[in-house]
Amino acid sequence: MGDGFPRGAWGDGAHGDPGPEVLLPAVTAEDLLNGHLLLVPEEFRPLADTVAALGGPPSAVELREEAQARAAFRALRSGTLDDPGVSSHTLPLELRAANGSSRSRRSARARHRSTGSTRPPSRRGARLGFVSGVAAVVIAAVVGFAYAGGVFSAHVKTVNVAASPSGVRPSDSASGSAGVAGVSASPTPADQPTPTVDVGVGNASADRDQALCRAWLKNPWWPGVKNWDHEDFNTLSAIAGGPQMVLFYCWKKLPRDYGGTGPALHYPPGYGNGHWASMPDIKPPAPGNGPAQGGDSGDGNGNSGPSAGTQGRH
Amino acid sequence: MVGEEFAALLEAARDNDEEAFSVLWRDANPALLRYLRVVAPDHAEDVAAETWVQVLRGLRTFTGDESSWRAWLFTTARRRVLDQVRHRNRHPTEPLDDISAGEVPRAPGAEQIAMDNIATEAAIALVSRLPEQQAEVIMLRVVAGLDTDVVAEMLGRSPGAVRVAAHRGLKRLATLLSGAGVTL
Repeated sequence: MGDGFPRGAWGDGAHGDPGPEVLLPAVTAEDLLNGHLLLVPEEFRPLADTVAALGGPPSAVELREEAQARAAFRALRSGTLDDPGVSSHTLPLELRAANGSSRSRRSARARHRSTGSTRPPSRRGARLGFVSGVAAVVIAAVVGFAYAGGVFSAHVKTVNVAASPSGVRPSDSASGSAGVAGVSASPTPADQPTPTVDVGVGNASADRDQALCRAWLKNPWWPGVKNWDHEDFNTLSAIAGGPQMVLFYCWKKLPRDYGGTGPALHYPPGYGNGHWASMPDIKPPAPGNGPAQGGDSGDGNGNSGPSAGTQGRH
Repeated sequence: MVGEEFAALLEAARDNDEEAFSVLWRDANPALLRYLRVVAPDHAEDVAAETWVQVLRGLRTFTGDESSWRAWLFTTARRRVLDQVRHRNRHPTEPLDDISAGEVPRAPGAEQIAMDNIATEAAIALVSRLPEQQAEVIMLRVVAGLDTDVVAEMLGRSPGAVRVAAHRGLKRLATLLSGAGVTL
């Protein structure tokens, strides 16, 4: 295989020269990998926040297949999903060739037999029957599990997910593991007019970037969304350093009060009342001024994100 | 990670306790999906579903602690990805239309993925820019929570090689962040 995992167009890993290499001490690298993010020097805070974000709280989409998983579990319990009682392995149907290397070592008595088979037909037939039965059960289970509404589903339903306290890293990580609180999502409004990009006076470049990000977040670009302005997205992609950098770039560029009033961070209108990953240096509001936004990193809802450092503040 | 309750949950799940299994699934599936979105971005959900079917089949015979559980889960997922790669190599398909991979329509909920957890999405996008092995090692170490020796066994590499790949991947991530305008 040679580590040749399939990669989509956005993830082939070959993106040219990222620039001068950063010197990262081995101790710091191990701290990052082991989740000891509080031990990471401040100069590597953005990297620590990125690592923390990899293990951030689960999203609604990542938990939406739970019903299907439960259905498969019930199928196993009822015996519909065959449990052979042996250790699992990926390829249960490794069929050996009928004539393996034993041909050269066939006994004298065996040589007198027909060369068509080295096994009595009845044993071979029973073995093939067992293998066919196992194959049929495996195929039926995979199809049934997938078709139950999971991987073949063409539409994603809007869901409201209760707070989920689970996390993938121990609680000593900088992001905490408070989980997602009250995340809800609304469908993107259909057939919106193409967003216009308003560029204000003053710092034209920064305003343009913000405007592009705002317009993009109103209708996040995915292939097939016809009312998105490709030219604007391509501009944003070029600024950000690639299409897959746009999210990160806009996260840094938009002001803290984007989408809401006061100190709290909210999703843009139309995306429900979830909370964005907070900027690392947001200070908790005074009592009575709205929801807490967390301290160093994390907004009390278990969210954290790549640090914007000391640049790009608006 | 589930923590101290893992042993009890596993035992309950083996005793057909659906709620116990659901806790295990909710704990592990997000990490599994994130890993698969880096190593097999076009088929992450398919492979995740197949992985859980395989895991369910062997649930009653699995023994071990939570670390072993995760190692088994991600090893199973990795093998499913390799199976898919081998299958596709044997049965290449031609697209019906002349559409590039980046233009294939995605599920309408894709934007919901982005908005639900923008920081995680941004981080996954950054890791996806790394060379394949570095990206995979970082996801297995950080997201799956596996230690170096376990990852080395999964990948068929030495622990030293895994450590080097992880460190190089982190350095490259730091460089990418630096190049994106973040002060280090």
